[in-house]
Amino acid sequence: MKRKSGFYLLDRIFLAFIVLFILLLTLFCSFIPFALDQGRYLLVLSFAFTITLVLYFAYRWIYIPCKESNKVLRLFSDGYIFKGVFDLRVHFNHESYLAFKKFQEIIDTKELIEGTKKHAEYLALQNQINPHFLYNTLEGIRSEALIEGVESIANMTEALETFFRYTISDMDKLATLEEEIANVQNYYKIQRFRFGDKINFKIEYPTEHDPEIIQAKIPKLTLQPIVENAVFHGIEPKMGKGLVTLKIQVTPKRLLITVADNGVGMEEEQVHELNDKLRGASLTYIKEDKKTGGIALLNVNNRIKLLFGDEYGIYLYSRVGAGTDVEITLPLLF
Amino acid sequence: MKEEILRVENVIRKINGITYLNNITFQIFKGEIMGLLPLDNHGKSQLIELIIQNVPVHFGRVYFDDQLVNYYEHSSMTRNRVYLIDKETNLIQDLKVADNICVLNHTFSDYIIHEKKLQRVAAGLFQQLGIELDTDQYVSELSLLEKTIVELVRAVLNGAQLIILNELSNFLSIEELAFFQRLLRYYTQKGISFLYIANHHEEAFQICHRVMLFEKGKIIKIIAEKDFSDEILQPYILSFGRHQVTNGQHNQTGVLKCQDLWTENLKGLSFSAKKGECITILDMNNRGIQDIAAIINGFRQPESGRIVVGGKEISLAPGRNLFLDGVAYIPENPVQESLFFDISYLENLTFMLERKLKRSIIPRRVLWGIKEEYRSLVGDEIEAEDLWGLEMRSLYNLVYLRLLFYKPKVVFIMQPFSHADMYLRRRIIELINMVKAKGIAVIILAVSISDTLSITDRLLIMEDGKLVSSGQRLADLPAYVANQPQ
Repeated sequence: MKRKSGFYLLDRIFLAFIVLFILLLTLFCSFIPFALDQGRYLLVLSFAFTITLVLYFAYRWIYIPCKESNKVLRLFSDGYIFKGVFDLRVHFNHESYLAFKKFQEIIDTKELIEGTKKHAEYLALQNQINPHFLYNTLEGIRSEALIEGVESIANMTEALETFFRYTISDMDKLATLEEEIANVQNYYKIQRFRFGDKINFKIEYPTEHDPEIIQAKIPKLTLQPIVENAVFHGIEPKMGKGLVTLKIQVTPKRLLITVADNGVGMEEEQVHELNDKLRGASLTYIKEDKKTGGIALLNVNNRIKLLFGDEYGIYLYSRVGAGTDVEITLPLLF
Repeated sequence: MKEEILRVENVIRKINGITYLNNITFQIFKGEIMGLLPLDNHGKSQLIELIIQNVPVHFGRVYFDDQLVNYYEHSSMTRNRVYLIDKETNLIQDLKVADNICVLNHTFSDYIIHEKKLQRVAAGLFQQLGIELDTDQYVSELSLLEKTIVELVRAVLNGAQLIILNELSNFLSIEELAFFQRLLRYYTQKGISFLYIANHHEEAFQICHRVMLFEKGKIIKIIAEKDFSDEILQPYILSFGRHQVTNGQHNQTGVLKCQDLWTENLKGLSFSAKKGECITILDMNNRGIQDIAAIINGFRQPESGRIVVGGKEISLAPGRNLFLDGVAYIPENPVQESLFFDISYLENLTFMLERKLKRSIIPRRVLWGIKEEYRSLVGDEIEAEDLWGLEMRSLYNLVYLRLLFYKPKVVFIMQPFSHADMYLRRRIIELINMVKAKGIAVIILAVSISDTLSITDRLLIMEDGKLVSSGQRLADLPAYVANQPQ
């Protein structure tokens, strides 16, 4: 490993520039009395004006863009942005521009997306083989079988089958909003067997909506993990009935989906921490203990940001006793 | 399909190391009235500034009319097509209405000003709204409502796509506000959006399509119109409780009597107040209470009438000091208007002490005694050498503690909850209760009921300068008042 030199390259350039400027200024100041003695006022004035002009352009053309680019790199290193680092307004030089371009190819966000998809599959499989999940489901089936007979068992089994089939297949494709909603409704049907009328679900479309909205494309397994979060962290601990509402809003360029629950809500610190994590795309959550809350949110958020860019993703509103709203912002794609 | 006029995404704004906007995300659609309910005032002015102009942000993005206008890498400092309307008007007082609307407008390109043409254009705009306003009038001659309407029309003509309305109920009366809100609904149909900043959710719920709650520089909840209810806000707001109204049977002696006061805006105003009683005068037109304040401050003499304080008739000649007669006045913005920031806390508290004690030099031991007495109430703030480092709550404490110190017989308070966030309003209620407990009569001059029902013993409603109803319970009041924000 090479020994790192003291100053960074840009800092050296600035240092040299400052030294040069001081020398020029000293020269200029010693030149002024001589020129004034000679009566060369115009020369002094034009020289002063030129220096001012050069300084001004150096500030606007060099210092400000440098400061902005440094800020973007700092935001990237702090985890605030990911793809944004490849869209610098002004690169440091042609070589760094080529290097960033190469870097973007090498990183290949597809690999990172694969990482998150694998994690999503992993979570889904975890749910499949999680005994707690299976026992509760089976317990529900058993109760229904005792009371109602074969038809209910068939219904539940069918719902479960549909759910597993959707969840673990074809993670590559974008799904339509219609398919995602159908998956959520299926999931709700399954949970209804367990929770009864404690859990309720409804969908709100915009008042004047185009029926084509439900054909909009979104990443697969975007909605169900969020709804699941709402049920287990919001509704389940709550006394009395709970309601999960899926609200859909559309603009010419965006699809805004809100999963709102009237559950127990979250502490302010927790909301703040989650929103901080959701701001950027990060894969560190994969190493975290699964018991840490918000992993589904982070997974969905990461997939959205890696696929579509930093300006899309998830934002959370919540307060203890006031429920939670999870707002998902996606580009409107057909 | 709704179109966004403004989208603010994950914006963090820090100034001198203090985070004023903390990862905020929201959008406003075209033709929408979006409410903003600040639970505290932290970050509010910084948010307004960000919407109006593309100032530097630490992180995040701002889209205006679907264009990315500001983001973490580059802030152009350009202004968006946003107009702010608040109590401090942007109109030029010495110009006429037509000039303010048409000439002071970036779309105006004529080289020669044809006054009659401008007046025709301006009159046409008001006609569309069904308003009769003389466009040949100077702005300084207009009422607050008229000025606000002129600003609205000017904003629309200027091409503003988003108009920010900052706490209108602080300076418009109930009737005026209802009228102005009708104009807002008219313009939303033309595709203009509004950000309606209100101090009370009832006011916002009356007019807005959605309301967002803002606290500590964060948006903590966005509520859609169909979800508007008191229950949904309960986890977020403080309850001030309802004051136990005494049915007018106050067991104290009378301390103030205003008899038959006549001015341009007061038509024979008469009322009385007892020791420790709190009366709210709700002015439906926002004119009469301005005259009352002017009389109390000695700026104006009534055409006729008298004021009796503690059994003694006081002189109402302009320029006299009612403080010596036991009458105090707290203005609408008391921190800015009645405190001296460059002198110490103790000096602010005791600066009129020589008049009270009728001595020109106050002994040090007296000042020391006062300091120790008030240390138990305000702690080490009593040692502050100036007021610059104190929080708003501490400054309001000082304003009201001065009353407790000087113990006037009666205090007139103009709009006590104006500019105060939810937490500060609760503190102001506590302070006014302390003043009442000392036997000082409190007369609140207000244009909206606001939180006054939490402290008032009697509510007097004034319309066109006359008292029209002196209901002692909310049920006694006319419906249009009872339904107003409380």
